[in-house]
Amino acid sequence: MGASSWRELLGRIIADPQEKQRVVNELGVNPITLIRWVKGEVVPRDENLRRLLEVLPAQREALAQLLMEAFPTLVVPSGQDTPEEATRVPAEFYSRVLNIYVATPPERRFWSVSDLTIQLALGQLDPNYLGMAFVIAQCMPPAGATHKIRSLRQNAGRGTPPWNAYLEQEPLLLGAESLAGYAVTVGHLVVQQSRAEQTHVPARWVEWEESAVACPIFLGGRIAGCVVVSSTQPGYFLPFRQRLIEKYAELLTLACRTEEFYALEDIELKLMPSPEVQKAYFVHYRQRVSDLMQEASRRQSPITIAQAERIVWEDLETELSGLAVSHY
Amino acid sequence: MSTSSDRPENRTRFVADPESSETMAWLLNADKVLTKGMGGTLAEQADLSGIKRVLDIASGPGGWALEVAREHPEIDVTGIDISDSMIRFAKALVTSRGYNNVRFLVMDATQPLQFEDASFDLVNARTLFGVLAPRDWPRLLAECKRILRPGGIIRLTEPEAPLSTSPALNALWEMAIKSFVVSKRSFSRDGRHLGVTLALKPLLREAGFEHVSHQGHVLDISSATEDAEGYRVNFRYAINLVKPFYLKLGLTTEEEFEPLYNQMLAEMLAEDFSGYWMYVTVRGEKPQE
Repeated sequence: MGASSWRELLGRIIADPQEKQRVVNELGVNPITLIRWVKGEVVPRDENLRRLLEVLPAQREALAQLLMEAFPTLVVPSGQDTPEEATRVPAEFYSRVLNIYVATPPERRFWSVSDLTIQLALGQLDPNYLGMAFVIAQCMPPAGATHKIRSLRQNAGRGTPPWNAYLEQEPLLLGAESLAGYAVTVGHLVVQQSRAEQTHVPARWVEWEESAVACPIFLGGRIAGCVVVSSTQPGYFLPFRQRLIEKYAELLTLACRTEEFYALEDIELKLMPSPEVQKAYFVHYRQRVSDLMQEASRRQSPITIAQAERIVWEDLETELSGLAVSHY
Repeated sequence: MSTSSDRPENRTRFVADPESSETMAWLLNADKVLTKGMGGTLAEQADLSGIKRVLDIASGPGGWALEVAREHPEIDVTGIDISDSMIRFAKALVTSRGYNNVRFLVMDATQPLQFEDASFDLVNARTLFGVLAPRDWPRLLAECKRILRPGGIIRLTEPEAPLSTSPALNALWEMAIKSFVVSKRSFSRDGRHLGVTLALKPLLREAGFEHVSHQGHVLDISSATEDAEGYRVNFRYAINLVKPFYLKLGLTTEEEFEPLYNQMLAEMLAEDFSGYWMYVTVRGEKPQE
């Protein structure tokens, strides 16, 4: 039976101690304050009422209705708690990313374009820091006996807490076992709205992740990789957020060189070992990049950081490919 | 972040191109790592109850102002910057995030500020060393005093060069210090450091602020920290973006700079890279009248 007041609905939600703790943490209020709201002893400020809608996406519609009945002057933003203009990528962002694309030398282009785009995307998709990871998983070059693409390298990314702000610190190879791998194979955006959702889509849920989207980076029917966005909130990827992710994936086509886009038939992803297994291999990733650059410099044939990273990724893919199936 | 060309040489020009998107990406990133390294946006303010109107001077793309607005929906935040491009970008960031308590205005910090007397409870400025020449500070601080309410707070945060185990990073910072001396932006009497942190307290006292105090921030930029990538990103942008400034001053050449830059990137990636970067926040209050 539906709740008759917002207080009753909130009371039901926080009857679950875990959910209560989550709401407390995300609102940044004292647990006693929450109980006083439910009992009617205190009337929350408008901004806290709006924040409640954000932290309870699954109950948002019912809660918004009850709040508007109780507080006729409360402004409940239309369009799923987000102003209309925040549901589109601003024209200024296109202009800025295009500027970085034309102004940056090719060897720095992937890093510069992807870093700016990720900062913009993360700010727009998670403006209130509910918890999000936004990463790029780029196709490794074709390799092996079949000369096909065997994995994707997670080589750029940023997050809001609880994720680390800089996800380049956690390099990883993704294969057929991952949501990213699936999106690249089928060639369109895929979404998982909750852990409980029963789908045939492969996913290896990571810590804190309660919903996720993977969206290929396409150019003329060829694929360079994939954007993977994870949220701490179940059901977070409403249609407008999926559209935003598609737009940011389109912008990221500017980060990749033409020859880094591959035909679908060139992609035959393998199963990659679990992140726990990979961690042991990647633990010295940055040292290896550093060593390669310094060695090249000593030999009087310097290489850029991008070149050194590419070599180390390829070596690691070879090392991990042999392990993949047995450690899946 | 002045781009003005009608000013005397070396007056208020920013050391990197403020029209460049890379500069914007750098400053957004720099704001983030600095805020975290300082323990938050307003970490030294134990009581924010009297803070309702905040001004951020030379706000760039708005990183600090946006973060204050996000953390404190009850505070109205204004950011000003001389660069029209920066302000347009900052406004787009506001739109995309849906915040309704922050605004950005084009304004030159070396000229009279277009605000009424006593308009703000707190004025913030960080890393003005890259924007203002020493002679610009007194007039700006007088303006800050005018637009603060009695009892209002000014907080200024500035750096000195990092200490590190990377010879290339150290060499590039020596170049930075030299560039400030050559371009007459340095406060240092012997050219061995930036000197701006040492100037902040005397400047605030001369401007008539009281209860002037300071807080040091030692940012650990070593490889072993969880923020290491943030600092690597910061220097990867920053050093590259100030290169044209160094070339223009004749402090280096393309042939010398590129290997040094690559060496810095390599050394900062090494597991044994260690470094500390010192920032100082100096805080003062406008006397009660």
